[in-house]
Amino acid sequence: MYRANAVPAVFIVLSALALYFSGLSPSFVASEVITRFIRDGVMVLALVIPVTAGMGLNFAVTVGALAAQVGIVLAVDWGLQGAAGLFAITAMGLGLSVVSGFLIGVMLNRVRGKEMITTMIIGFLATGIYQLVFMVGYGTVIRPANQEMMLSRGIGIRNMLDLAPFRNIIDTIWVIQAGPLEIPLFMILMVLGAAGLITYLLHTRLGQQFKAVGEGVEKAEMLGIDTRAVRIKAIVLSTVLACLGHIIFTQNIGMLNVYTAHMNTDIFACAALLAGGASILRAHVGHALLGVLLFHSLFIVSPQAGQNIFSNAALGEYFRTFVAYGTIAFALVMSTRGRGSAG
Amino acid sequence: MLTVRGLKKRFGNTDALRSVDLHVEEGEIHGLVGLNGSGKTTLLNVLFGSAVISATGGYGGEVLLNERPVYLSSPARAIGCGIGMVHQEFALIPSMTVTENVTIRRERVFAPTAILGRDLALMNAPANRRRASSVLERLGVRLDPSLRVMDLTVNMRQFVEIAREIDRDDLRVLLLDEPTSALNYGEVQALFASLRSLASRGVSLIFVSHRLEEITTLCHAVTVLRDGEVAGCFTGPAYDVDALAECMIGHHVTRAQRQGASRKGSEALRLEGFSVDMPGERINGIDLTVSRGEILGLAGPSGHGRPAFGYGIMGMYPTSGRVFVDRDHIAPLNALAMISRGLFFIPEDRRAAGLLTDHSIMENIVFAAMQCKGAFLNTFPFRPLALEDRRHAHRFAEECVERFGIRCTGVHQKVSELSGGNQQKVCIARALAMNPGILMVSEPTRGVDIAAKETILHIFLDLHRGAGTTLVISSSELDELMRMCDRIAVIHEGRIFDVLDAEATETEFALAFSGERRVHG
Repeated sequence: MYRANAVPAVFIVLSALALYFSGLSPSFVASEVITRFIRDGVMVLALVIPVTAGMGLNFAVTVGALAAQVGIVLAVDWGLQGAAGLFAITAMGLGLSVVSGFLIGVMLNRVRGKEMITTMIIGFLATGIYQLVFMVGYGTVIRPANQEMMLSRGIGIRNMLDLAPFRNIIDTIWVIQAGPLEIPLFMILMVLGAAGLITYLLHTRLGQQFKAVGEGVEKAEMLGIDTRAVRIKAIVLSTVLACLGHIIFTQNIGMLNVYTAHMNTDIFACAALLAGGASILRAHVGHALLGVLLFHSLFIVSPQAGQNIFSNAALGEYFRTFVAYGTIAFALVMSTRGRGSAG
Repeated sequence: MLTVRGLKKRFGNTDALRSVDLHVEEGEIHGLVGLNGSGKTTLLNVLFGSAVISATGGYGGEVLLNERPVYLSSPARAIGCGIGMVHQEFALIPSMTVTENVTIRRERVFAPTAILGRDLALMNAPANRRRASSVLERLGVRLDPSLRVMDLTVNMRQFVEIAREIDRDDLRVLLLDEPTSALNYGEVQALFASLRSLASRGVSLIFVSHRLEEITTLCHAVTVLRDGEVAGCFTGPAYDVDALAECMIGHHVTRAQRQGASRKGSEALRLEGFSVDMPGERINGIDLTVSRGEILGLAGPSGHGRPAFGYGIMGMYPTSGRVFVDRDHIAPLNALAMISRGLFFIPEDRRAAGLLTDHSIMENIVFAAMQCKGAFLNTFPFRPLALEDRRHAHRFAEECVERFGIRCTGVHQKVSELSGGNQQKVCIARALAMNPGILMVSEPTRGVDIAAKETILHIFLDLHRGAGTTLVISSSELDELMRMCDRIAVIHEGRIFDVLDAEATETEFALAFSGERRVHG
């Protein structure tokens, strides 16, 4: 517990130092942080339930992100527009993430104790399948309705899809101007709503089952809990939330990098969660929300700080990578349960 | 209520149960006794649908509830049939509160949210807390239900485990596996009162205990298991402890008894202002000297620091003060340093700290000796890369199996497949392989049946007589200590309250246990 709380403190100190050296205005940083909070908040929240259920960090949130991208590509292909289009994307994405979440859950039930590495590999595998379908399948097996999004050779989709029909559809609802800051109240409420949903779930019987399974599968089984079903539910919920999170992310960006947009979502989400003070054995909603703020504060200020101190902006980039992987590695090493735990 | 006909269960090539019949009436408290490995635990596992049973091919024979045959394929199924179980090792979730553990899977929910379905309705925490408090009150326990289970002592955990089952309204059959092993006399009486009231409400109970006195006072009928078969069934008041014991063992047992006082040698182990920071079992500054060749007992109520003694000396918890072995100051304390000084410790929690349960009996017996002392190794090709001397290890393991009467299919059987008492014997055999000068043992006979218990005590006495090993035995069984030890140190509130000799009377011990001084003159 003590060690876990040291992590947010380190992030606060590093961010403060980097902010000082970057010379960026606090209001600029604040508005950037709000944007990142909205973009990435739900994705980070998606990680909470699998940790509670004892499955560690769910790196397979990538699959949820891919489900969202499939929905988006299909919507662009079929020429859907506006709010209705966004609704269709959500529907397709959620349907796909429920199915894929279920499959991941079934797989993870076969590899108890090795969930994290398995989810990571599943993420890579899903990326491979996805790329195969959209790079090779489209234009050969699948007939596209929208030729504009195809590569000039007629097979495969372009790298970049313009999402103008969907751009900032929901971001612009209830935007409040507070001095130099633009606060998209609706979106913030949406992230907080997702946090509320998870908090609610953890205070239901299902949540109680997640916790029991997280403490020990054998004991939970002795209590008559269907541990396999509970673990599958945890992963399905996580995948669904990840899909929603990625839809919010892409409609905010307004562009879809078809083949790479989903990459690193898992790493950055996991690092953000851990930055908030979670461990791979314990995580709650507060960790996720605090973590997004801290992790992205550091992300925003570090390139400029690198530029100012060492006259090298790339250093900030390296620093980001170092921070993301460093946080995860630290959490993994520190994850051993305290000795003398109750039996 | 519950009828079992021709129940059979095989694990690999061994028959754990061969045709067991059992009948329990509504509202009956039925005792189940037998030696370790007689099939009691297997029988309970079958009746609770435990995963061990289904994972090893299920069971044969018939189980009837209210004359209707049921197949108990999983704990969830058994619970659905109204069967509950108080597990010996507790099915508690440590990081959850008492309330959460007692009400798990039966949590009360806020009515308006119930439209979302049972699992997605919001839990009503105050109602759950009230419910948990009232159950604990019925058990006669005063306990704050908002405490987390990991912060409770073992006896309180035992009550939480029992409360969880008693709270069920649909409970028809309750299986209790050694529910009293962690409790003191007063607590046992309180438990019995609530079990009797449970039975008077029509719940059938199956009660497993190694303490035969408890069986005879509580149970209406007793079934004795031996080698997976029913060896006898006693009903009514016409049975007593001796009859049960003879039926369990099939022959007479000689009680282990120390012969005269040990010859005391030089100082073997000395503690100065020794404190151990073990949660729930703290020791605060004790001074103690153990002479070579002596048998020292450690007694005292649970929660007062007795278990911390061995763990502390092996450096498994933070300590302060000084420890001397053969007059040499040892610092820092750790297991390897102690083992190399000829001191070995057998912890009470054999599953967690003592054994490599997925490895064979032979590997367990020789492991520590091979790693720490370089025993059982060939000198080929050269020392640091020496190969295991399997023939020697095999011979030694077989000797141990023979000498201690470890019930197994062979020395290559996995330790996890052995019963509790036999696992304990493997622990002791491993300690012997180390050939220690000082042997510390914690609860050597916990959860062990009467025959195995005497065998184990005999092993210690033989070791003491033969090799002159210094023994420090920590036990909650005073009778055992009085038979074995030269001196008995009573630990009370983290300090050595008194060191009594084995001839002291029960009253003196009782006073020391409660922390009261004898009134002189």
